[in-house]
Formats: sequence, C-alpha cells, structure tokens
Amino acid sequence: MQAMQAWVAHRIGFWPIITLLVFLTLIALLLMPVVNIIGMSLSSKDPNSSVIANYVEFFSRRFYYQTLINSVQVSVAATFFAVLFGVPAAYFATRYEIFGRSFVRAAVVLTFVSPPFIGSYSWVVLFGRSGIVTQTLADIGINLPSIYGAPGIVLVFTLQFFPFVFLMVSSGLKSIDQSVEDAARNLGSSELRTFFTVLLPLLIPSISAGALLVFVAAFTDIGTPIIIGERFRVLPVLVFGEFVNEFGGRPILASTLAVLLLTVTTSALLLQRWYAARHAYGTSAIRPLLVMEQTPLKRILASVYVLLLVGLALLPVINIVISSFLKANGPLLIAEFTMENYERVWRTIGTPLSNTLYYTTVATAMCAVVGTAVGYIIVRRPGRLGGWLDGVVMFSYAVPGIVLAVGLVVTYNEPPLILTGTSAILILAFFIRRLPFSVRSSVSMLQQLSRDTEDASINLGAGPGRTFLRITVPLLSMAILSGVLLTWSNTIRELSATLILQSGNTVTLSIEIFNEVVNGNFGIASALGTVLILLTFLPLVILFAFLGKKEEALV
Amino acid sequence: MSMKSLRVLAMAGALSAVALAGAWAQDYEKQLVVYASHPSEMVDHFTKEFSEKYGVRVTTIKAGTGELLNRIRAERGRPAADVMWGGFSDTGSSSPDLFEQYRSPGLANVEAKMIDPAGYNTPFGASTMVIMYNKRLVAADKAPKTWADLAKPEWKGKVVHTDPSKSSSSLAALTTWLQIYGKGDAAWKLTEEMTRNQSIVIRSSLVFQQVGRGEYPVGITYEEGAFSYVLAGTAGIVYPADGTLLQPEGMFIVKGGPSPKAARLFADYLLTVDAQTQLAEKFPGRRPTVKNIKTHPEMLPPEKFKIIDYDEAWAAQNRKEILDKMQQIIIRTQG
Repeated sequence: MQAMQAWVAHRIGFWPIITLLVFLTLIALLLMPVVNIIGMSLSSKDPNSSVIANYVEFFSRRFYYQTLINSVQVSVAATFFAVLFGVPAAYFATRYEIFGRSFVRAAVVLTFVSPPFIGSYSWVVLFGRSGIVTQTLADIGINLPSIYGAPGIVLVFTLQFFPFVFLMVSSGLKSIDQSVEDAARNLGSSELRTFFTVLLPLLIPSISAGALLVFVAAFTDIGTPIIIGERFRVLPVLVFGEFVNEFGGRPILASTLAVLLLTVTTSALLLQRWYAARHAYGTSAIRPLLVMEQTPLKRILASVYVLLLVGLALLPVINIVISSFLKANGPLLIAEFTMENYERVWRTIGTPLSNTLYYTTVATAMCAVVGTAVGYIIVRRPGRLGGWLDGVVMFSYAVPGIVLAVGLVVTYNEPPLILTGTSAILILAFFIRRLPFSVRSSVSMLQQLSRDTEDASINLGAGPGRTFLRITVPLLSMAILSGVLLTWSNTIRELSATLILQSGNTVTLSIEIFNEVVNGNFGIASALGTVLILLTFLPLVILFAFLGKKEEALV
Repeated sequence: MSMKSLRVLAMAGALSAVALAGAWAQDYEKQLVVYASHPSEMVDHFTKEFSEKYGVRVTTIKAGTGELLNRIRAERGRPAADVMWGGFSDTGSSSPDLFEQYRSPGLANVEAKMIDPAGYNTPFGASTMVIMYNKRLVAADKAPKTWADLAKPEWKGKVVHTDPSKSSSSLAALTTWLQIYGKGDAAWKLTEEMTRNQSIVIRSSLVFQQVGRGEYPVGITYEEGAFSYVLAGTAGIVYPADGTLLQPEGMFIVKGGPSPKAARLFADYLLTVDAQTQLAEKFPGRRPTVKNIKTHPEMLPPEKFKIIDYDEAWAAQNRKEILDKMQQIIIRTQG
C-alpha cells in the first residue's frame, strides 16, 4: 500500500493529486448541484412542453414574476442606502477623532455576529404595529409609519448590512497614502471636494465590493421578508416555501426559482468585478491617511452621526439580550427580570448545541485544510488548472446558501448517495459556503510570503508535499488560525442553507432560534440567541485582542 | 363527594388497573422510538413521564408530519420508529402498509366520535379550528361571528392565515369551509373572497402569535395556539357560528417497529386518566378525548359550539385537487 502511494506520488506528483482531489470535491459539492438545478428547471412532468416552460410560467404569472421585481427593488434600495450611510460613517470613523471610537468598532462587530432572523424579529418587537417603540410614541401622539412591507424591509436590510460597506471602505481608506490627500489640499481643494474628487474614485473598488455583499445578502435573505414582508413577496421566501410544504414540495418549481436567484447574484458579481477592475488603481500606502484635527463642532456632528447609525443597527442585539432575561406571561414578555428562559434553555439546548459545535468545527477544519491547499495551488502553481480553480472559487461566492441547499437536495436525495437529512449534508454545505473565504485569506497571506524558504527546502531534497506540510503550513500557522476563528464565527450562525437541509435530529442552534421565534417564544429564542451571540463573539475577541486582527477581516 | 366525581374516581381506578395490568401482564421492550410532529413541549413532557413511569428509554425524533411520513416510508424495509405521533386522524388508515391497527383498551372511555373506525388511530387529543382576534384591536362584539364574515370588505387586509399547502391545520380549515358551504362553486367563491382579505403566511404558528401580539386584528388558527394568548389576556376566540370541525389528533403504531409492545403501552398510557388530566391541565387549549375529563374552564365545552359532521374521507380523497385549486386562488388574489 505504502509502496503504491509512494509510486503514485512519485509518478504523478503531490500537487497534481491534491489539485485533482480539490477539483473532484468542487465538482461534487458545487458544480453538480448547480448543474442539477439548472437541469431540473428545464425539465417538466409533461414530456411535450418546451424546455423553458417553467420560466414561461414564471414570467407569465404576476404572483411569481412580481417576487423577482420586488426582490431586485428592495435589494437595490438597501444597497443604495447602505452605501449612502456606510461610506460617510467609515470616513468619519477612520479620519475623525470621533467620540466612542472603540465602542463603534465593537458595535460594528456585534451587528455582524447578530444571529440572522431573530434580529429581524426584534424589529417587529420594537417597531411593529404593537411594538414597544411604536406604542410608546403613539401614547405621546407620534405615529410611526408601518414597518411592514417594502419600506420596512429596506430599512432593516440597510441597518443590518451597512457594516459590509463600513468595513470595506474602512479597509480601503487604510490603503490610501496621505500624500494623495495632501497634494489635493495643498492645491487648495476643500475637504469635501478632496473627498469627492480624490478619495472617492480611489475607494470605488472597496465601495463596490461592499455594495455587492449588501446586494447579495439582501437579495437572498429569508428571515426579514418572512416576518415583515406581508403581501410584499420576495423570491427567496418563495423558494423556502417549497420546502415547508407539508404535502410534498415541488422540486421543479424550487429549482427554477433557485436558478433565477443564482442568475441575479452571478450577474451582480460579474458586474462588480468588471466595474471595480475598470477603477482599480494600484495604490499602496506607505504613510496611511492620518486622523485629522477637527473643529469641536465638526467632531461632535460626526460623532453623533456615526453613533446614531451604529446604535440603531445595534438595537436588535440589545433587544435580544434584554429579552432573554424577561419573564414570560404565557407567550408574552413582561417587564420583570428572571433567569427562567435560561433555565428552560439549559434543559433543551443539548442536542442543538452539540450539533452546532460539531458541524461548525468539522466544516471549519475542512475549510482550513482545503482552503490553504487551494490558495497554495492558485498562488504557487499558476497555470490553466490554477486559473480554473480561481474561477470556480470566485463563482462560489455568487452561489447563495439557499441555492446551494436546493442543489444539494436535488443531487443527493436519490441512490446511490442519499445524504438528505444527514449531518454530512449540513457539514458539506457549511464547508463549501465558507470555502471561498478561506481560499481568499490563504491567497492573500501566501502572496505576502516569500518563496525563498520553500525553494530552499525543495533544493535540499524534501518533496513538495513535505515542504508544504513542514515549511509552508508552519509559516502560515498564525494566519491559518485567524482564518479558522473567522470561519468558525461565520459558520456557527448559518441559517438559510440549514433551514432547507436540516431535519429533526440534525437541528442546530440557529434552527432552534428560528422555531422558537415562529412559535412565539421570544424569551426562549432570545436566550438561545444570546448564547449564539457569545459563541460567535468569543473567537472574534481572541482574533482582535490577541492576534492583532482588525475588524476589516470580517469581510 | 358528588356522584360525578365518584364516577370519575371509579373510572380512574379502572383505567389505571387496565394500564397496570398491561404493564405487568406482558413484559415490554425497554426502549421506544417516537417520531413526533406535535409541539415539542408536549412531546417532551409525555415521553418523559412515560419513560419515568415504565422505565422505557424514549428517543424522540421531531420534524414535520410530511417529513416523518417520508422517513417511515423510506425505512419500510427496516423500520426505525415505533410510534408516529402526529398527522391527521386518517393518516394510519390511508397507509396500511406503514401502520398497524391497534385498539387500546383505553378506547372504552373515549368519546365515540373520536374513535377511528378503521382502528389505526389512538385519539389522545382533539383539536378544532377557530377565529382568533386581538382584544385591543377588535372589540368582542365587533369580532367576526362566522367564517363567512371573514369575506366581508371590512376585514380586508386584517386577517392572517397560513397557506393550506404549508399546514395541515389550515388545510383542515379550508376543507371545513368547503363542506359547510356545499363543496361546490359557491363554496370556492366564498373561499376566494375570504382569501382576498387575507395575508397569507407560510408557518401556522405565525398566525396566533401575530394576532396575540397585536400585529394583526384577526387570524384563522387552531384552538390551542390561540388559547395561550387568551390566557395571557390579549386575545379572544370565536367559535364560528356556521360550524367548525372537532377532529381527533393522530398517534399511530408503525408496522414492524423494533418495540411493538412498548409502543402499545405508550398508546395505552396516553389514554389513561392521569395522562389525559395532565393534557388538560398542563397544556391548556388542548382537548382531552376521554370522557368526563374537564377541559380548561375558559374553553368552551364541545356541546356549546357548533361542530360539523366533518367528512374526512372526502377531504382525504380530494386533497390534491383542493390544494391545486387553492394554489390558483392564492396566485390570483395575492399577486
């Protein structure tokens, strides 16, 4: 056996074998599912109908096509507002001596770790027709507009997703050299004019990258529109609806909807790449932009703006934590503190918690191993295969969790390989969803790492496999560790793919939260949510406090 | 002590004797696998009680009815489950290849109407569909009185209901309307008018909690969902004057399961006075099926509201057609 392995490694080489394995994995877990949903969307129960019959049906029924229009509308609007509010916030937070700066940094991270769905529900608790804020303001004669429908969705998406823009632009600002700004200001340009004519053009790649993340997140979000959409239907909810069908869903319809989702997200990705490439300037900051001295008034105004925005975005998290300590009168929470929610959660959290930790840990480990290997192939072994890999990984950015889940169900619910309902399908879905992020971080760290040590190792006679494991991996260990912490934090709250892939005994924390929210046990859901927030936040604390990473690493 | 309570006592004695005799006479397996689609609190409570009482280790797998049925079907060759706790009362008789008939001795004390003529179901509880309204948003005398009232223009946009293809209870409501109004075009026309007024959600539990919290004035939901908000003081229940259904809930024994004796013991246990009393007391809003067990004082006893003679066979036979038609109505009215 060993002789055989040695022979194979010798004849074919270490890296080609790894490359082949990676390709097979990507084909099985990403390409096949996508190809299968496309195939299914072109199929029909009626053999005489045309291949595009499902799409004709979609675009001829207002009930269906309106959801696509609605989805695009709210996502574009949310993206617009996220950029409108996020870019100035990032500028002020980076350039001005604003008050509560470390609070702002922590708050942005906290909005990131807020579990999905329960956050949206928090908005109803606060601003619904009988919401706490709505009622309080109504008592003093102020009537808030309804949170339901399109405007509410746009508001929630904007506040939920503007941190993408904030973090991207913050990191973009750090790569601009102070001399660029100085040149403009010395030539007499005002701060405002300098921002619009000098800094903004340099920030276009960052802004568009942040905008893309907002758009895709908004376009594929299920939780918010389920809770506050009412008659305003969006595409992802329609897909999800096919999986809660008690009488057998319609996989053909679900596939058709998933393909439409994928088409839009892929187009958005390509558009952003093209646009950012046209505006890419090779900047490197030798002397990064400095924090500017401001008049007190400017400083106060900027602080108020940033704190208001971040504070508003943080409201759901605060509401969750407070609600987790509130006593319940039947299904309703009353203003009395208690540990009852935690006591109940303590008794039932076993299975979902151990499932969550198990799936997240395995998927994270897989991401670390495969992600590092793929990064290595892309950076160190460029060639046609490396280019292909790069392309596939880039494509996987555009595959939303819900689409991947539909694809996996369609692909693996029949012999020879039945994975639906197993832990394996969830782990694989988590793995493939986070893989592009692992690859990206390992690519960026490898690009900063000189080849010399590796070359020396090879020259001294160590094989490529040995060199990779004994030289490259140890050199990257800190970078891999921070990648692991980030992946773990991001994976542990996964909801959209899990909603479709989980079954009774593979329940996770985020699913429990979802169930408790829809069953109306907001106190229990909040206690679970708080546990999840802690689990997400702790690795990030380690990351930022001990590994010296900045919050920008989150995106 | 009144005659009535004496009777109950005597019956309780007789019932526990039956149950104990069952437990003593035959030795039963020490483990049991329950597939359950009922709310987890209730499932956990009774499986725990059962487990402590009889020393049986109970494993529960919780998921939706449809998913559990698919699993049982897939596992037909080597069944993993002993009990399917959930589904319609006719789920067993409509899949004789998956389930086994079982007539528990406890059935002797169960209301006759609740008993499955085909002998598959163990009717441990009954549920009914009601109109629920939020007390702050709707005055009790202004609340709709009948299902048909919900078609009136004044309720436009104010009624929340679940898509019947996503929820068996809301399908039961739909088939109830169809049966009350003659199963024909007139009934469908009324349904369409009602649907036009509705906001359709995809999870049945969203209905009672949105009405209970005051996000919607009126909702169509199952009684026990609404009842927790009645107790919390925010909602009221209307038992529609044009009638509603009162149907037993499902509990079936899986054919060829690994622990058949323990499964039967579990069925017997659910029909004991002890379990039925706990059902009524700890899960207010649920209706026990054994005679003379008091429902919660704030729940209307069954003789006080109009119960239709629900045609289960018709509903089962036409399920697909009804769902298809309803889908078209939703597409037309909610677009």
